[in-house]
Amino acid sequence: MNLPTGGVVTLKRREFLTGVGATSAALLLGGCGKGLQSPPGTVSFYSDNPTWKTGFADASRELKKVSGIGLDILSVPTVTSYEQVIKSQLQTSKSPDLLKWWNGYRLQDLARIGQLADLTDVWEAAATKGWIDSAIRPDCSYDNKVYGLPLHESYYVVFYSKKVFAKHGIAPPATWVDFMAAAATVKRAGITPFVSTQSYPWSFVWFEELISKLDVTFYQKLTAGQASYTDPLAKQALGLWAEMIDKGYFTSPDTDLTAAPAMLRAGSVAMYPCGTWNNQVIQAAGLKSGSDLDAFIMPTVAPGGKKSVVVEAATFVMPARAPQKAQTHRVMQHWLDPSVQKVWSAYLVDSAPNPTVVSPDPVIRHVQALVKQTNPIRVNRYWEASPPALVEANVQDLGDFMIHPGKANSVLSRMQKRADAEWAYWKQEVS
Amino acid sequence: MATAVKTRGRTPIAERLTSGLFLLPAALLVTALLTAPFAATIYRSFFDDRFIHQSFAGIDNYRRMFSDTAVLKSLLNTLFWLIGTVVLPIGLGIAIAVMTSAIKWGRIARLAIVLPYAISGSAVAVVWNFMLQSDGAINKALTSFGLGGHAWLLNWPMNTIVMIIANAWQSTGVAVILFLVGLQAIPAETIEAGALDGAYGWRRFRHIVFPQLRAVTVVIVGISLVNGLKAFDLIWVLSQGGPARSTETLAVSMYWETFVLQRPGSGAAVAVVLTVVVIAVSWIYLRRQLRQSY
Repeated sequence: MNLPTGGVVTLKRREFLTGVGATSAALLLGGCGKGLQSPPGTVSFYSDNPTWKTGFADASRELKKVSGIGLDILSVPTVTSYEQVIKSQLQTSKSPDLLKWWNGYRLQDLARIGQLADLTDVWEAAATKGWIDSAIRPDCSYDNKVYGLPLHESYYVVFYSKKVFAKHGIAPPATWVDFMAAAATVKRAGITPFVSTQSYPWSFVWFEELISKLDVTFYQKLTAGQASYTDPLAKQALGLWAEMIDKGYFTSPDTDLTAAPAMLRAGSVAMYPCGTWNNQVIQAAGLKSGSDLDAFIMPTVAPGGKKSVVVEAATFVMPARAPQKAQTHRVMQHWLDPSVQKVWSAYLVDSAPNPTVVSPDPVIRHVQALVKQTNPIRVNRYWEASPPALVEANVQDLGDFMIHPGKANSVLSRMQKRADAEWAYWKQEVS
Repeated sequence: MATAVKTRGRTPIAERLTSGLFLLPAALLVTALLTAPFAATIYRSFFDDRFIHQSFAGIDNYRRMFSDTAVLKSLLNTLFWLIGTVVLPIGLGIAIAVMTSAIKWGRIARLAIVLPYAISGSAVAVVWNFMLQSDGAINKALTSFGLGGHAWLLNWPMNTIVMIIANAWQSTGVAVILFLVGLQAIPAETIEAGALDGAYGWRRFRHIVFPQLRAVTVVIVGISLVNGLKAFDLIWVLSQGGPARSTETLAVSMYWETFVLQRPGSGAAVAVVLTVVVIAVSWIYLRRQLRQSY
């Protein structure tokens, strides 16, 4: 190609066509290239949470110190896009080395079709060192093999405004009667007792809490497909829920959850049931951990009922086609190292998956102490506790119930009908 | 037509080959990017929902789709959108264009109406979400006037109707621009002749202006039909198709089945039905309009 100095670039037809051809070939070859290129000394890591990027970067620096390998972090901002991108990539040679994923049935969904690498040896080595809570192993496993390491161990608790409680003389409730009395007291004072929304997908929060606090064994059976949504216990739970809706205990069903921390800070709501992973966001609204904000585990409905807590543990998984398997395996071996977890937990302001790491945050320390003291049965979050297609559609029905609480029976019948179909489909797919 | 056929018959073969070569890139692009994926989607819709090792499922996906009340409601919502996206932007667009074309401050009024068109659908959804929530701006305004609030986004069909209105707020701008172009193309003599004959106001608009806007109206109706059928971003950001899948249109149902429920076979069936609807509506409309125009 001639480039006359200071003049116009002249391009002959043949040169133009050659250029176009070369560019196309380069693009084509690039597209067919193998694996994702991550900088030397790192493994590629995909996450659906861009806001955690700083925390992952902090953890990556510590990982680099202990394992010699860091993380090359890439975030896909929406959950649905993330699932789609990952599920497509896992079937190609473009698979990332490491992924943030869910546990339970969402993890099984990938593991059962052979798209995840077995991490049982990593889990067992960590368990020997006391670096991991074995109670959550079933949620990270499929067919007795471990496929995910926990990223955090969040508990579903009730965050509350200490100022509102103090002003109205309310102590953190230890029984259901106390819990309802606290709600009635703040309601009389013109404060909405609880944050709640049907906005996708959060309608399951109160459902899982009410069912598990009525009878945790029933919750476990229901989510495992061994009990019916039309069981009297499920009807009792929705009856209780409808009663609370009628009393005006909840924020409007179309409440935007991103506004919830500000509502708590302003004192327009008193309590916010959610996972402890939300602690960081709530505090960012200006509530000081320990002095303005604290949390308790929702009490059982019947006095003396089996205590339980809903647990959510996002996981690290390694795709079966990870381009840098050995390096990724090494990263996984060091993920639960206390030095890495200390940094990660401090960033997340949540409970680390390594039980030896004590959180620097007063609220989380309090929750960890409550869990240790009351030893509740840990149950998996509804979102991960049943086949994804069943849960996705059921949360829509629960949203319908939150708007029309009189529809409890028809909603439960629909959920059971769907459960019959989806469990059959899940089992058929496995076979 | 006969002349055209005759001429084509006489075209030398070399010239026809050259024309074919020029058409080839476009034809290849259309085949690769439109026809082939469409054929693949039709093919996929006859297989089950497994990601790997799919089995032939016949018309099961279609049968299931038409027995799913959520998809049937989605079909009905699509019809609402189709009517709403044609009637509102066109009705408002022509009214605004005519009323503001002859006044001094019309340019400012038009600018205010056209501006939302420059905003992305997702941003429009965020703004309207802020306004339509139960404790949102509209209910707060109504309450301050002593009027009760309303759960705009929670009950069907109100939630679908308000979304259509939100969409009209954004898309009216382009209709206004196109109608203004149409108005400027109307020869002044026809208006003056009408005025001499005593045609003013509504009569002038009905019998002189509107008939001359026919060509531009055809284009705007066409654009609006397509916009109505592909409505997705606003709905997805405002409600994700909820509550209880009550605000879905076929485009949202397709996304829901394919990407949320991870049911590619069922999603492909919805995509095929949506495509059939789009083609049928476009064909009926364009065939009728083109026949009347030429």
